[in-house]
Amino acid sequence: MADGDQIVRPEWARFPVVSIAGMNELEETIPQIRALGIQVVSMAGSEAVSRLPYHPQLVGDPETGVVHGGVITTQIDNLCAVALHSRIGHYVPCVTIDLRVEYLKPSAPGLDVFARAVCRKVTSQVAFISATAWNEDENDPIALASCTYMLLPERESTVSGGRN
Amino acid sequence: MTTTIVDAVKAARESGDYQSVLDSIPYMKFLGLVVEPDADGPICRMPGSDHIIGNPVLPAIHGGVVGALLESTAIMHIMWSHESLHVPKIINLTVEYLRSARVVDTYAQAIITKQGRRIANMRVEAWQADRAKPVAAAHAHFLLPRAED
Repeated sequence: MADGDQIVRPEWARFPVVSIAGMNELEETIPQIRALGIQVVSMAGSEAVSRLPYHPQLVGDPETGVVHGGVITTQIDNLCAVALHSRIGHYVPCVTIDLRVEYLKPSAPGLDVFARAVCRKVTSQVAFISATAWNEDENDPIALASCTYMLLPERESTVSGGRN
Repeated sequence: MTTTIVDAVKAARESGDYQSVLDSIPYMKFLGLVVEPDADGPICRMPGSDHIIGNPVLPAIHGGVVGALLESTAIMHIMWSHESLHVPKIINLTVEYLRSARVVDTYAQAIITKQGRRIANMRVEAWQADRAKPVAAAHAHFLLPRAED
C-alpha cells in the first residue's frame, strides 16, 4: 500500500466506508450537483472521474455556446472531494480552502465535460488534490486545477463527506 | 452568430443598467444573479436558493458556485468598465475560501488590479451580511478581445 493510501487519523475509520454507489447517492443529495447533472463515473484508490452533461443553461458566452468557467470550477471542486474520500476510504468532513483552475481552452459547445481528480497527499489536517478536465481526449485538456481541502476535526463534523 | 450580448452591453452603457447583459448569459441567469449598480463597478448579488446548495447539512452554498459568482462578477466588471463588448475569456482563477457561505444573499464586487491591452488582472471579493467578513476572495486573469471600443 502506497504512502497516503492509509488512513492518517484512526478516528476516520469510524466514518462510513466509501463506495461508488454510495458516492453517487451522496452526490444526488447535493442540490447544485444534481442541478448540473454531475455523476461520478469511476473511483479507485486516489482517483475519481466525473461527467458533466452539456446543457444550454450552463452556457457562459451566448455568442459561442461555451460553458461558463464556474460550472467547471464546481465540477472540479466537487470531484476533488470525491478523490480525497476515495483515497482515505471513509467520508471524512472537509471543506475547500483553496482552488486554482487554469482554463487552457474553451469547453467545446454541445460536448460533455469529463474531469479526473487525483489526491496527491493527505495529512492529518490537509489534503492536496490535482485535477484535469477534457471534452473528448484526456490528453488534450480544457482545464487544469489544483485544490486544497481542510479536514475537519471530528467534533466539528456536521456532514459525512463532500461539502461542496 | 448572434449579436445580442453586444447590443445588450451597448444599451447598458447608455442606461447604466447591466441586468439585461447578465440575463443574456444563461449560467449567470441560472444562478439567479442580480446586478446592483455601484460607482466602483457592478455588485453582483446571488440570492440564497435551494439549487445552489453544496452542503445540505450545514447548509452552505457550493464552493464551486461561490467561484462562479466571483468569476461572473469579474466578467460583468470588465464589460462595465468598457474593456469589452463580448464576454471576456477566462485564463485562470484562484479562489480562497475564507468562511462557510450560508444560504442567504451573497454579494461580490471586482476591481481591475492591473490592466494591459490584452490581459486584465482582477481581484474579486464575496461577502454576505458583513462586507468586512468576506466569505471568499479570488484573483483571476482574463483575455481581452482585441480593439473592442
